[in-house]
Amino acid sequence: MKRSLRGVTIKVCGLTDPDEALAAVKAGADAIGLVLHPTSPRAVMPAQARRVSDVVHAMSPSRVRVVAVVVDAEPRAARELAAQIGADAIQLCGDQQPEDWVGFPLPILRRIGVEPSAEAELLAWRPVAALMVLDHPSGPGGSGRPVDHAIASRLCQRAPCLLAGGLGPDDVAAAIARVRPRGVDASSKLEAEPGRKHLGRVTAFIGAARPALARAHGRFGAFGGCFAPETLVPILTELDAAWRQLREDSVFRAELDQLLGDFAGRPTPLWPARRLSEVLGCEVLLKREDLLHTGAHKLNNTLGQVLLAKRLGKRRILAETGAGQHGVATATACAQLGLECVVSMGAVDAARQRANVLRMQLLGARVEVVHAGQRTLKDAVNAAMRAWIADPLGSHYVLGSALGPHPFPSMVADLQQVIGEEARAQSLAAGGLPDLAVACVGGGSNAIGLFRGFLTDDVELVGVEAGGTGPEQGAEHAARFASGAPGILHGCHTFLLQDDDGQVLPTHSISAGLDYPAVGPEHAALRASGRARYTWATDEDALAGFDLLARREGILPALESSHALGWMLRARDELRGRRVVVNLSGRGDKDLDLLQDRHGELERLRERSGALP
Amino acid sequence: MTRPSAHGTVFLEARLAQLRADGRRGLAPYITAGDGGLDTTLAVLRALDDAGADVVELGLPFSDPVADGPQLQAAAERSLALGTNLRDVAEVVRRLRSGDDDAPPSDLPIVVMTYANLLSRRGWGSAIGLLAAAGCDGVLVADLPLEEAVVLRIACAETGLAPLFLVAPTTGADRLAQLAAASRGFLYAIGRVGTTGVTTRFDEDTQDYLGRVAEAAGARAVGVGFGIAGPDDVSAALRHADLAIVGSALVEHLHRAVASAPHPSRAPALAARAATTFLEHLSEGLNP
Repeated sequence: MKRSLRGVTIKVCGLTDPDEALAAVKAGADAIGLVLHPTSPRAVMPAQARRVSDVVHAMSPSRVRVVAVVVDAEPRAARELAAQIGADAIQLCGDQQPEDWVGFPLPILRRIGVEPSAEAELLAWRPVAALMVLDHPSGPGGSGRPVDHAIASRLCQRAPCLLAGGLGPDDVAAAIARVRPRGVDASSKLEAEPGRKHLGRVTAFIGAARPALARAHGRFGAFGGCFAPETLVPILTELDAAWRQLREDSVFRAELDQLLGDFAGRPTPLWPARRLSEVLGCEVLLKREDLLHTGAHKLNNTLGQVLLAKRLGKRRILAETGAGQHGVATATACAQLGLECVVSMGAVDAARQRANVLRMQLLGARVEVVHAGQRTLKDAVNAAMRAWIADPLGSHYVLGSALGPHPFPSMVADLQQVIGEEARAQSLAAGGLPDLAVACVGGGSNAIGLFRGFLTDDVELVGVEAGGTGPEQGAEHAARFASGAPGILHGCHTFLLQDDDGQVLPTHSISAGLDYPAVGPEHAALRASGRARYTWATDEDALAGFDLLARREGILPALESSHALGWMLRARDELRGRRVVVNLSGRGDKDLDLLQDRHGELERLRERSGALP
Repeated sequence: MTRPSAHGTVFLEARLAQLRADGRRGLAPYITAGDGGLDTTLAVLRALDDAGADVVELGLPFSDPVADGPQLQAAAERSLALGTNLRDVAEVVRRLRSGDDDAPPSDLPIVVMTYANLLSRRGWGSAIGLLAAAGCDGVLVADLPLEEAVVLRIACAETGLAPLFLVAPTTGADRLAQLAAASRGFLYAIGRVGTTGVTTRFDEDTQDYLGRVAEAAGARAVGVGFGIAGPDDVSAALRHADLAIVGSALVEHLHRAVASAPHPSRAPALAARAATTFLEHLSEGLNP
């Protein structure tokens, strides 16, 4: 099977030992390089290379690529060698001609020596090589010496490149910021001695490179990016720089912390839901974001962004809203901080969340009802982006989820990760880390906020999408991972519900907040790496979950959050005896109109689920 | 794939160089492909060619066109309701190039304007290859900034299609220079901060900005678009630019002609006539 190099951003090269290779994979490497050049200090014999390759593929059958690194090899010999060791790709160093490699059966990486004349060589290789490895021009193989950043930066504009040349944990982030490569490749600086990797350095290197790559491009693996109209690009660049600076600014941080604490009510409790736990047969800890001021996690984000906008001297705030929770949270932050507020909302959503329309208006916001397209969240985002394009200097667009062009997905996740940080500390104080962390996923800001607290722990992460009337092809739903495909919408590359031509498909969910065709790019990357898994709950599952929490715990959850509970009800067998943190992202008062219409269904669902005696 | 070798970057740049050598300025009408049906699109392209359009921007419609105003969004919705896709747009251009019983072959320069997902969905190389093979000259992707365009530029380099880039009044000097260097064919200057379809005021600030764009572009031609509706706008837009790009106003005008057709079979002819009269009207702005 030919597997592309798409999504390969961190390569650890020169491995010689299966255990070290496994450790590198576990630390998050996307590709492992095996040097088959006999005179290299990191050379491996083919039989040993095969052992390394086999254990890597056994541990990570889909994600990690094994790259055979050869010097001066002919295509025929290279093909045989690659087959012998089970490599997924070949890296060519030394004296080869691009035309000899047309039609080679494996993806090719080409080493390019970074010197003023390198561009011609890179362009010659571009038709046959999927990735360039930019290294110091001395010698044919890994040099361990840093490259000229200015030239490397230009080369990265011309082809997808991995930056190499003696990168280590201490300098990789700065090099990425200057060169903006697709990814990085490191070897000698991660060693304890030639040929033996130092595992602490490998982990530190990947830990430094991954966020630096995300910041440089807004990339999460193959996902994310900044696909915005030119008018907004300079504004987004400025926003990115401002956020990087302010998130480290102690005065800003103190002001935000005070707002989050004394105004919004943080920290929110972690409630051991005993009566719910009895029914589900597992230990459920509810992260009570529904108790935050305005009734949902959204305020964490809006307070941060409106405060940022004020610092940038903006006078007006734009926002989109689906269920109305983000709109209310934005209107609230604007009232508190004294900025004008305009919220776009689809006509369908404005009808099904009437109470929130009134709340926004009472808080002094103007609600612009959108009648274009499907008249739901997607169309509200279109309208808000257009309004921002019309006034990018005077306005700031407070995007409500971990979505959109860079820096929004990173910035929103930064602002929401307080959920996970608190939940982690609270669960430790309450007896230990959970086995699972579960959250509903629309754009995915409440989920990424929770997940970020547990990313480096041995905690299973589960995101629950809106299954609507059933996530099969053709049915109405918003389960992007169940039947979507990678695509570009609203500024980022992510999983998207779309047809074969790339037109965005209509969605359906009982909850307006999950009724959206794209998912946050960090979730797409967490799924691709296998760090999180994504499932779905139908409208009926959500109603059953809502009913369960209302009757067993005396809490009316938002229909969005009810999806997480609905999935747990369905997955009871799998969860038995385990400890689960669930993000209760919002409260259900906004959904009363809809629940009045479907009240009769609750009893029927209750009987069917058998959850309540 | 065979392609009409005459078309692409070299052809488009030679045409625009000739425009400048002749001391002329030109018109670049925008139409949404498939609005009113593909036969209407073909008839309108031919009419625009006959009426003296220098370049046509052919919009491949997307479901979520965030850079466009309500007129072009409505046109995209009408076209998508008829099922228009990338292959259809390529086919229209192929028919334009080959000619038929109704009209001789046309070498009217064509730049396809679209959004990233439609090309990424098919695969950048395959999508660009299809457009190049049909005889298109360039491609402009409204939501693909230079930093994300590495793959597009590679595909264009391999097929000879011109990758065009946009600059906006918010674009700073360094970035303007980068975009001017990267854009082939011509550099597209957004006349105003905002989406398409709202009138642009060509005040002193706007003219200063367009002057800076022209200076950065140097030998490269500049087209000005967004909010150009009549001959006065054309005249003002062309003070510093080579091409005036007219979109929303023309698209609305053509839509009215199509909607007035007593029978759908009459739509192409009516739209073609409307295109001719509209372009003649705009041409008054070329020689004030």
